Formats: sequence, structure tokens, C-alpha cells
Amino acid sequence: MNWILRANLKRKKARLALTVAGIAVGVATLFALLSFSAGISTALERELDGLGAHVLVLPIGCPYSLTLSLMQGADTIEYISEDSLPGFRAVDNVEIAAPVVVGRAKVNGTPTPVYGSDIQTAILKNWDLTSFDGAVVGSKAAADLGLSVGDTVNVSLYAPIAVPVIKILPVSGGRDDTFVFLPLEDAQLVLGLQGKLAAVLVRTADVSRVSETRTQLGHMAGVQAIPPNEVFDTLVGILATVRQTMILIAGIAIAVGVFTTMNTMIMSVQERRRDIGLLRAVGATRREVFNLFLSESIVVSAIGGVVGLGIGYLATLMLPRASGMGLDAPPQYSLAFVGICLLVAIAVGAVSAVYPAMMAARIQPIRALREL
Amino acid sequence: MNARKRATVVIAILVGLLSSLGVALGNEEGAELVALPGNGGRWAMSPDMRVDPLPNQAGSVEIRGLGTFTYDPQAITTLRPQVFAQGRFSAFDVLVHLSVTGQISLVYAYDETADRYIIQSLNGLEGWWYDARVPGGAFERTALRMDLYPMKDGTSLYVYLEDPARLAAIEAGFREEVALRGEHGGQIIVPIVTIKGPRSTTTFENVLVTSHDVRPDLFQPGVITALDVLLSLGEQGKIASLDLAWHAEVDGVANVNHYMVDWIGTPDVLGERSPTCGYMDQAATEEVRGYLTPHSHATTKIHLSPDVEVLVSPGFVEWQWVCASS
Repeated sequence: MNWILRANLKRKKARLALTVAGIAVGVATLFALLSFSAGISTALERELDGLGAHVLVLPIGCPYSLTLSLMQGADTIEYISEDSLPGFRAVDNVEIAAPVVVGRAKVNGTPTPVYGSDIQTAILKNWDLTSFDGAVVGSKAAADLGLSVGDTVNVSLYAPIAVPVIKILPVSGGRDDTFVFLPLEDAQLVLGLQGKLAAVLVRTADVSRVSETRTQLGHMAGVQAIPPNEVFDTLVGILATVRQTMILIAGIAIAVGVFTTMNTMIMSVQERRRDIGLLRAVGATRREVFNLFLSESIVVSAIGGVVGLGIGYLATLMLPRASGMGLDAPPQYSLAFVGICLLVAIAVGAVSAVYPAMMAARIQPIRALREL
Repeated sequence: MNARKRATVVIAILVGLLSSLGVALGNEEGAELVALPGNGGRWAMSPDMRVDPLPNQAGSVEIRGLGTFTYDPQAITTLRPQVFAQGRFSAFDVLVHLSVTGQISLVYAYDETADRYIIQSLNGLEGWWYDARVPGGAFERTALRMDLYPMKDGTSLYVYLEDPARLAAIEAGFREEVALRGEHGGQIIVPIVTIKGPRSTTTFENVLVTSHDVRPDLFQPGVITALDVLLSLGEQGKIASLDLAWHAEVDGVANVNHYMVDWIGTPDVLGERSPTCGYMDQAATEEVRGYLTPHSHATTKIHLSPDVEVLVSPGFVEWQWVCASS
């Protein structure tokens, strides 16, 4: 039967191409959606992990937008008084409480995200520094600004400072690559935030007591304490709403693919009534006729799936990544996504072939042969 | 007539009297409700009913990088006497006052193309913008002209160097407003007014907005505010009813003294009223839209209210149904 299948596929090339395209659109949408969603989740997780904290101490306000600002190096309006810092450090089970200010300043004349902190951040981020008395520059910022260790950087916004570059960080793939990290006092001066902190990153000595420590920190005046995983869950939850809409769109595209394929197969059955009659006359059973059309539809859909994967991949490369909550969120690919998309394509082929294949199997050979 | 019947009649007469004054009784705690249209189908309120007292307490302004400065409100005169009533002033007037008293060095000018006073430099730096919060509210990344933002006792003012892209968008928006007003011969005609209700959205195009002098305690006659957009829609027969609530205080915060929009009765509105929900507005131009804070994500229900938000000629005005829990 295989040669019949191959011959039929070659018979109507334009129709085959259109049917493949109909399935490919749905599969491409699904693949792009899965890849983008995974990319955004991974980027969020990477950035939150990159903070290196078990608990984020933030000013009162929306914790999610404050955390995003922190990760993006964007300015915020609400702050914590720096006077509170010894109080956070005195809380039981707090091993590290790293103060943070963030904002955009001009670094050698170029607007660049600036991150101010002290040696505790170096410990949190495993920078291998014994003192934090100069600029630590992210890999991308260093490349963009042409900086090397030993250079002096001029940083200005509310006030100008000049500090030596003491370290260039290796590529992390995250936002840290774009930051210029400065000693806290220098950053506060540049950003006009003397005596203020955007956040305090807390690492606990005993991870099993994070919840208890978070409660104690959260009871301190003028702040809220949030574990990064809680922020992650909420932000991913917000994304889930968008993803559901996208899945609906992909579902519609796939449903269109089902109807397109079904229509093609019904036309094919009608056109090949005499062939089917001959087949039955020379001994083919109803099941064999049914399987012939089912196989044909599955093969067409599988081709559509492969083409769709290619289109989806190209789409993920070409579409903007603005949906990553301001984070650099490249799409993430996985064999599982490829498998899911191919399975969906094959399922489309199988579902859309059932009715036409049944039609073909029910054709009476005598009647069909009379049409010769 | 027994005592019970007499009491019923007295209550009915009282309710009738209050209704004829345009005052409705509602269940919103601490708020005085106003239902429009009032007596005789009028879309106006009695001008002397509700007043915000003149600022008389020492205020403060935080200028990032410079510190916090205090001022005496009674010593401030406004650069916009054609807008503000006697004794009232704007956020910009506060900075001018600090400059006059030698606390800061401010260089400013009037930009006719944007119809606003602009900070050219403050202590030698350029690119300043501001944020403000009304009593009991939160900073909300405002995109209103600083010289039209009304100050009152308890309003916090924060001045900082703004992201150049956002500042440029705000400035472009102001210029577009002035151009739009020029195109309409000095009238305010809002191209798109959107009312996003609980379960339906209604859009009106090219709405002519006229002044109703709702807040003569704050502004000179003829000044147009965001609330005038709704009142004009009512006069034009495009909305059927409007419920406002005058809040002297909210959640224990005193000196609020503004109107909130509880309900807009558009002909096709779907959904139900809720005592914890109401309408917030945003008035701006398309250039600024991406830089506005979505009110649906607000952490406070106290915003600059529409009766004190002076309009120049926005490209759009949107009313969004917002609930306190959102």
C-alpha cells in the first residue's frame, strides 16, 4: 500500500502544500508559544536566583513591580531608610543583609543601570572579592563601554564620581551582565539616594527557618519581606493568563488545520472513488482502505508538523522579546516541545482522517466500478 | 394617621427634599452622595456646597539629591492666577517659592508651545520631573503639568531627575495637547472618551467639554477638569446618570475633600455597582500612554480626583472601573 500512498501525495502537489501550510500555522504558533513561555519563566527564575537572597526586604508598595525594578535596575519611588539596616542584620537567622540601591546613571556618558551595594552583595553573588572599593562591571556593560580592570569610570546623575574598575564579571546570561556595580555610598551619591535603600537582600543561616525569619523581617516598620519564590510564582501566574489566551489562539489555528485536512481528505476520497472500487475489487478489505486514508492524512500532518516547527523556530528568532517583563528572555527550546508539536500534528491528521477514511471504506466496489 | 404613618410621611418628605437638592442618600460610609442629573435635569452642582480649606499648614517637598525643604503655603503666590483661585497654588509654585527664598537655585520659563512652566535647571541640573501624592494616597508617576497640579495641606511632593525618554514623551504629549486645542479654536474636544465599566466598555468620539465650575474653591471660573468630561457627556445626553461621592475623609485620612465617581450610567452599561468600587480616570495623549501607571494595579484607592485634575486638551480620557481590592 505504501506505493499508493506515495503516488497519491505526489498527485496533487498544490493541494498538499496548502494542507501542509494549514497544519504548519497551528504547530508554529504552538511551538513559539511554548518556547517563549519557557524562556520568560527561565529568565525570571535566573534573575531571582541571581539576587542570591532567601528573602527580599522591600519598601511598602507593590512587591512585584518593586522586584522587577530591582532586577531591571530601574528607578523606584519608594525606599527604605538606611537606618533600618542594623535592625535587619540583628534579626535572628539573618546571615547576610545586603543593602541595594538601583537606578540609571551616565557611565562615561552612556546611560547604564547602576547597582549600589556593599561587600555582602559580593558574597551573595560569589564574586570572590575581599573588598568592594571600586566598580564591578557586568560583562556586557564592560564590552559596550570598553572597560577593563584598572580603568577609571566617570559616573554621574545627581552628582559626579570617578572610581576605578576592580573587576569585570564573567557572562551570566542575566541582567547582571548589564550593570555597573558601585560601592553603596558612591551609588547613593550618584543616584541622589543618600540614606535610602531600594531593597535589602537577606540570606538566612538556616534555610529551613526562612518562613520564620521572613515573618520577623516583615513586622519591622515601613517594609515588607517577600521570598523570591513567592514573587516568581505570582509573576508566572500573571504570565499564565496571557499564556491561556495564546493557547486559545493556537487552539483555533489547530482546529482550522483539522478542518482543512478533513476537507482535503474528503475531496480526495470523492476523486478516487473508482480507484477505491478497483482496490476493493482486487481484494483490498475495508480496513485496508480505511488505513490507507488514515496513513495518508497522518503523513501529510506530520509533514505539516515538521514545517510548522521550522516556521515556529524562525518566528521565535524574529519576534521581539518585549514580553519578558522587561527582562532579556530569549526563547527556550526543548525536545519535549518538538515532541508535543509533532504529536499534536499527528493527532490533527488522525482526527481529521477518521470521517473521510470511513467514507472511503464504505464505498461499494460494484457502484464505484460502474463509474469507470 | 397613627405615629408610624406620620413618621413614614416625614421621612418621605425629607428624602424628597434632599433629592430635589441633588443629594442622594447612600450606604457609602463617610461620603456624601450626589446623583446627577439633579433637579430639572441639570448637570451641575450647587457651587458652595463643598469646600476644601485653604492650605495653611507648613508643607514639605523632597528634592532628590538635595534634601527635604519646608515652605509656608500662605507665602506662596501662583504663576497661574488665571487657573487657581485666590490662595491656591501648584506644585511648580512651591519650587518657585523655594527659589525665591534662596533654598534652591531654579531657572524656569514659560513654554507657550506646551502651555506650561518648565524647569530649565535646578541647582545646575536639567531633566527634572515630579511626583505627588494626595493625603492618604500614594505616588503614582503623574504625567500632569506641574504648574497645574494643585497643592493642599498634606500633599507630598517629590522632585527627581526623570528618565529622558519618559520626559520627552510627556513634553511631546503637552505640545500635542496645545496643538489639538489650537485646531479646535481654543475649545477642548476630546477625540476619544472611553468608559470601561464593570462588564462593558463604551466609547464616545469628539466630545466637546465645557466648564461646570464644580470646584470654585480651587479654580477660577471657566477652568475645565476631568470631571467636566462626564458632566458634558451628561448634558449632551450621552450618559444617563452620574453618581458622585464627596469624601471629606477616606479610611481615617482627613482633608481629602474631593469627589469620586461612583457610577456612570451609560445607556449600555453592564454590571453592578459596588460600595468598594468606582471609576478612576486617566487623561493624556497617546505619546504618554505607555508611561502611565495602570490604575487597576494601584495599591491605594486615593488618587488625584477628576474634579481637581485640570485639562488642557487631552487626546483621550479613559474611565476605568477599579475596586479597592484590585
